[in-house]
Amino acid sequence: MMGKVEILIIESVEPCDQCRRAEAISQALAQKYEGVKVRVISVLDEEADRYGVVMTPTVVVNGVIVAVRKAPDPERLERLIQSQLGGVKA
Amino acid sequence: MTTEATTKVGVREVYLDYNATTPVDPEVREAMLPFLSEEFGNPSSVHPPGRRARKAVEAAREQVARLLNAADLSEIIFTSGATEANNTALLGATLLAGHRSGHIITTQIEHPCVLGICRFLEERGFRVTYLPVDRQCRVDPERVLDALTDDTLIVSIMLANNETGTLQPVAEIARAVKAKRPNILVHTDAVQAIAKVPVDVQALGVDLLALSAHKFYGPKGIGALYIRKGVKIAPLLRGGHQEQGMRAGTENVAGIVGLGKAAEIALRDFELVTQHLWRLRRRFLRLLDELPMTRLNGHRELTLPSTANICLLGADALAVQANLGQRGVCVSVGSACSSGSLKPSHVLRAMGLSEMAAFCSVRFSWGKFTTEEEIDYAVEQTKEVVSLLREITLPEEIGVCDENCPCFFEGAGLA
Repeated sequence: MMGKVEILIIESVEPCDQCRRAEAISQALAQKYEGVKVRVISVLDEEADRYGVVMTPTVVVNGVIVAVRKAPDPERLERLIQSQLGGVKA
Repeated sequence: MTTEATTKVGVREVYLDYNATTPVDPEVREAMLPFLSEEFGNPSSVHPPGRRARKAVEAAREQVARLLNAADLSEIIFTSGATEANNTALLGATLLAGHRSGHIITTQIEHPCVLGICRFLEERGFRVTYLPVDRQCRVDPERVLDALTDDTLIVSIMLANNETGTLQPVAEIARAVKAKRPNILVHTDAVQAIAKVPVDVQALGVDLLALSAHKFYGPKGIGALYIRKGVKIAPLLRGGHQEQGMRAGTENVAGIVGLGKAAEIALRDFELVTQHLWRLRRRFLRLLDELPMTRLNGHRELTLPSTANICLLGADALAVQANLGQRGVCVSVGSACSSGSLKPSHVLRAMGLSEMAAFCSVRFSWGKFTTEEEIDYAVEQTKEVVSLLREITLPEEIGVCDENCPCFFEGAGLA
């Protein structure tokens, strides 16, 4: 059965370069894989407190913080998403 | 010694940040409570409530003096904490004493408080030597002697480093400095050492020593400065006769009572507590050693028993900290955000770690209320989180590595 993946990006109020990069990488993966959803929130959002955000962007994949202060590496993020989706290839 | 793990809603919480602050010991809280209610007297007042408050303050002074093995009660001055104690020591021996220039010797690995005071003095015409440390985070006493000049006023070297736990050879340094130049003052910031290793001012041979209650199960907002009898420094706070004129302002009676009680307990339970801390350290390092590509930052033996700073190579410490926080494990990292960019820990950099190795380093610090079971849980979670992050992160994205980085030699492993 195919899994679902949520990529949560916690951005600065005025999204920085790395925030925008994290968003672009994630959106590309959401286009490529069915079951991948991207959600972007501001660091001021109450939900951000839960992840103890100290720097932006903070990227959270299915509840696990995978990158802090930098966008994740696209290939490694894709591999993680494939494994979360249950080993599917695009 | 074992208490139940603290919990927050739904998530188990394992607090491994005792170097940042400690919970107040229930015995300390009990001792303080009357002074937050019915015993509200001002120690300077001569009526009975004032005299009772005075008695409590002086009893606490005796408790602190005993903990430090001070020769005389008048050598203990209560302050608002270690920051004020360090300010009093360093400014009181230099600028406030009327000097307009002079030389100060300290280290590159001091707490930001001491470094900040030294920079302030530099801006006002003083010269400061910031001594380096070796790969194990130790200062070489020879270097201190080499740095002495005709106008050196004070040497200030911390007793135990807050990030790595490494002990500094303060007694050796004090002996050597005094043998060569008896008039130079020797100060130590002993904040992290109290209640974890023996701290005896006479054995150390220091003139000045700063401590803070909240690092050893006392309340926040209270600390002390030890000033050896006969040592003349100027006060930082003026406008009152309190603390022999060395610290103006009505005493924080409840805080002082709490500090006194914490000192009494530290002395009373020293053997029991330190044995427990050493046991936890051995267990922590043995268990975490199962994780590959890890290295202990700091000296293996000349250390606090309660601290382990670990380079988890290939895992961004900020992400480790955030994920551990999610799992209820509270740890800290030495890097700090300064004007929008992340700066690696000045302590780890001084030890020769590359930027990347410093950004992969996490400080675990435990205390007398930590249980073996909590250590096991924290290590298990750390192993999981680090393995996961190593999969997702490219090492070069964390920071720049260099060939001098000690992460890659001098033996691997922790245990």
